Amino acid sequence: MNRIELFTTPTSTSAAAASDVVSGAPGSSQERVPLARAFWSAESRVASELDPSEAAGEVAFDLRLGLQAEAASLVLLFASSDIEPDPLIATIEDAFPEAIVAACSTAGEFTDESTGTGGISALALPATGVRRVAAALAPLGGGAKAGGGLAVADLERQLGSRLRDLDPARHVGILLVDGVHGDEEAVNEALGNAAPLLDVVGGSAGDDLAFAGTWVALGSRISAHGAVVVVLELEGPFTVFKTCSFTSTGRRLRITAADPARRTVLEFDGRPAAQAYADALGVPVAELASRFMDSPLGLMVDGEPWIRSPQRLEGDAVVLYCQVLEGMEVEVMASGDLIADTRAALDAAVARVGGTPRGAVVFNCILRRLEIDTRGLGRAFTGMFAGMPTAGFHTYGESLVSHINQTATGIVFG
Amino acid sequence: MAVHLSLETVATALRALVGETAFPSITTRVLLRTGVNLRSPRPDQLANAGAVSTVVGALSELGYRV
Repeated sequence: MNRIELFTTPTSTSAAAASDVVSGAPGSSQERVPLARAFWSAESRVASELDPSEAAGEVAFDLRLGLQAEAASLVLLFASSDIEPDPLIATIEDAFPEAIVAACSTAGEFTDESTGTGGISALALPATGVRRVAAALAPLGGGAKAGGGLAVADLERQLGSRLRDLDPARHVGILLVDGVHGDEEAVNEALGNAAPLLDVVGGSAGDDLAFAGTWVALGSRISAHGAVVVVLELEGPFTVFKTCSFTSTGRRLRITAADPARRTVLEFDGRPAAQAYADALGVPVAELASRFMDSPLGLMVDGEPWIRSPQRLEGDAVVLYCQVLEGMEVEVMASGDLIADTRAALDAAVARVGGTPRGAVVFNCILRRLEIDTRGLGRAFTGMFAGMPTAGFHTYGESLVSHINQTATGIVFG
Repeated sequence: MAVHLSLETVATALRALVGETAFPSITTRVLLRTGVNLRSPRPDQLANAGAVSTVVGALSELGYRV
């Protein structure tokens, strides 16, 4: 019998409550029960006709089926902002009283079988293979670093250990963070300061490209300006991955004036940012915005780009989806084959866990989704996960070590 | 905490503090936060007092006093 411990704080970040759960699963952790995933599509229904409880009921049914009578330790729920979260989450919580439920709004949802918008994707981790789960909701309205710090303190209270003392070979974090207030860098820094060697993987919540408001939830606590942090202690192998389909052109731009809080570059190499960027691409400034998708900027680490995607021009300035600082040097990227590059990253991740994955959670950038949609690659995208129960969502930014853009991040569970 | 005049001595002190296994992860975090690559510093940053101070500060936030 596999015994797991689940921790969460049901009412406030200052009053951690812990509950132990005994799995009802037959057998031992050696049986490697796969993760369960579910996809619910709104299809042609309009938002006003949706019954979130009914939709959640279908999702819960499919997850239970996938769990093969195993108890769940964690349910990750990704839902369109068209769907009211309260009844959705309440139904999932009722269906999985033994599990922690973490959720967020999206800019599209997918599994290894389907991708779409306006619906729901979900992933349930079986109790088998998970030794402990802890989760905290970070309120970010009073400041992102402070909120991140509260979440860290809550997690440490639940786990009875400093996060930095957790063995990174057995622990991994998942971050679902607000997608419209620009707090991702500060939240990632707060988590990094607390646990520099712990991998925390995640994505920024979306709202179907409205950019008006997103939500994250830990159980019934739903926040329009917050972050959910989950820490898992796993018994089996796992690996994190990051992939983008860009390579450097070798053309470098040094940021000589910036407004980091507004994620804005004012000058590259002492020149107006838009003009210098356009010159690096060899196009007039009037054409620059049309090149943003194919030619973002990358901060290079050991030859690997960490993408900073341009969002728009503001006069001579370039506004990014990610923070950059004065003195940083970025390189202009050239786009490659999104499907081939992602497949290679996934294949490598699967190999790292021994070749027989139990499942995966994936956070895929909205800009990649737009490319997938434009080029009709939806089936090729979901097909990459074939044979591996997978769920994820299209994000307003990805997290791994820091906030990044035009990337897919994820965890493959072995 | 020592006074560092260059990124090379910061890197040496960090390596001695955290070991070879953790060194790449920590320096990646520092690079993404500061733009300074401790593993392969840009020539203009190598002995730049501002860059050294920024990196020492970032490491301190991460819990590593070098």
